[in-house]
Amino acid sequence: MGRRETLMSQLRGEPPPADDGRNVDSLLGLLEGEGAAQQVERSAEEHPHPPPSELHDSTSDLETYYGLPLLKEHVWKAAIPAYFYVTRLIAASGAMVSGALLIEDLGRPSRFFNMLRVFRPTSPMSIGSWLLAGFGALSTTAALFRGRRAGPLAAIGDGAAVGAGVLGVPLAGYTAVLLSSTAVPVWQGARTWLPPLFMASAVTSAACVLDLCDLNALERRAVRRFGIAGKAAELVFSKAVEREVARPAILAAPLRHGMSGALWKGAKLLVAASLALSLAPRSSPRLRRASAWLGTLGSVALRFGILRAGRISARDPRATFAQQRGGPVTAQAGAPELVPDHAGPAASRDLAPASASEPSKVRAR
Amino acid sequence: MSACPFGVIDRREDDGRAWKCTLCYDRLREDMVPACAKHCPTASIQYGDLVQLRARAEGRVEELHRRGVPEARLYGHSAGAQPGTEGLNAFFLLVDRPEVYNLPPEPVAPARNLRRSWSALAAAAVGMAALALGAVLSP
Repeated sequence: MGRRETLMSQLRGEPPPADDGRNVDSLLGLLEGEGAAQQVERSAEEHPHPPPSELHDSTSDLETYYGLPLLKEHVWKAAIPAYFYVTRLIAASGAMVSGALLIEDLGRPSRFFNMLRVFRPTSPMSIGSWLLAGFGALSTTAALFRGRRAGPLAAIGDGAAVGAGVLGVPLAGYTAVLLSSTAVPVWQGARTWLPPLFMASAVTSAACVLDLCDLNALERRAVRRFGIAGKAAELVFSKAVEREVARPAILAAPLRHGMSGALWKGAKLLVAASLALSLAPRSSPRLRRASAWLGTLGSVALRFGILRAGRISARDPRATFAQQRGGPVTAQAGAPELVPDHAGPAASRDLAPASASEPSKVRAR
Repeated sequence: MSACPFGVIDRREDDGRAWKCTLCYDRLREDMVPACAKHCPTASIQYGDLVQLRARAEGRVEELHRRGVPEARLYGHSAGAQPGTEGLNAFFLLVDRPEVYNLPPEPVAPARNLRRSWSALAAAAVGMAALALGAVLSP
């Protein structure tokens, strides 16, 4: 039983009992169960949003609820875009390395295609977990038995390499499916072209990192071809994503303005520069390394840009409304800034009364 | 959290778990209504059997229309009215467009869009495999 603050305890000058903020009188009731162990934390920012009467979204041409966000932002930290980068990197290089192993050791490329089966469209996150688990086990097995020339262990190693290659291919792009199955407007709007973009970007990342390794002339030529195709495809698909997202145009605003826009555009520039360097007629180790670093930076910037764009997009209720209404809304500079309006409650009168006769169009004010 | 089209699911700061309203399941077990419905001073929040609630809501909308509030409408009360979610079990009577209440006008459960993304991924996967083979095999 905890102590209770009484008049007597106050008069005696005893310190008040520790309060966890739940306002439960411990003389009357005890907290039990899983909730009891939790401490209620009062965040410094009790009300993350100013009260509605102080808000006026001056940039909006759409009715919103005082410009407050409709969706929740993702809470992913830098580890998630880094994970996106790493899975795609290892998956693509794994796919290629194990493909190369298969062809050198078995000489039967057709088995590679046999493995490219259609998979079930269920939860992308669950599929991704299984892919990652399977891929990790198989590629470790393959690495362990790589030195063997003959015998059952060599066969197991080769089989594992093939399996890792097959799992690696979807692993390189499932994160795009995961993003496009959220409610975030910019990610949902890119649901056709985001997976190919992630795949192409995986090829770029893998080729760039392989380019930084020691390779013989044959491998170098293969990696160069792989990388050039990947970078070209990445540029084409990022254009396709931009076009797909820009219907309606307001959805593409995070890819055009602000930090996410800078990251997205910078990624495209870096990849284009890397492509130009790898296409240069005279190749030197220095040029190759420069191209590989540019491509790697571009790939990383792309992930961070896309994640950042999702955050900005979720913050903008107009994007959600415009996407669902399919209305003609033009892109505007930057994320919506919430400008305090000292006119106070007058802001609320800006919300025009609804007219039931035009329910399916976004109305401009 | 990111998949919820209503922005309802949130995360506890202290332990990172995702939560939404539980309809006070501890109270329901004791045959009580959820605290918000019990407590609502204007009885705007109502809890009960869905069929009865729907009938009551439709009657209320008709009455409002009769009284000269043509904007009155139900939000998410049936699969026909909100195909993207196949109807909600918690629905609203609004007297303006949903945007004004910060409700998504045409919400879609995002998993319903998965087929297109998976097909695009499959096509890209075939392309990538072909590319890997081509890069290694070609002389």
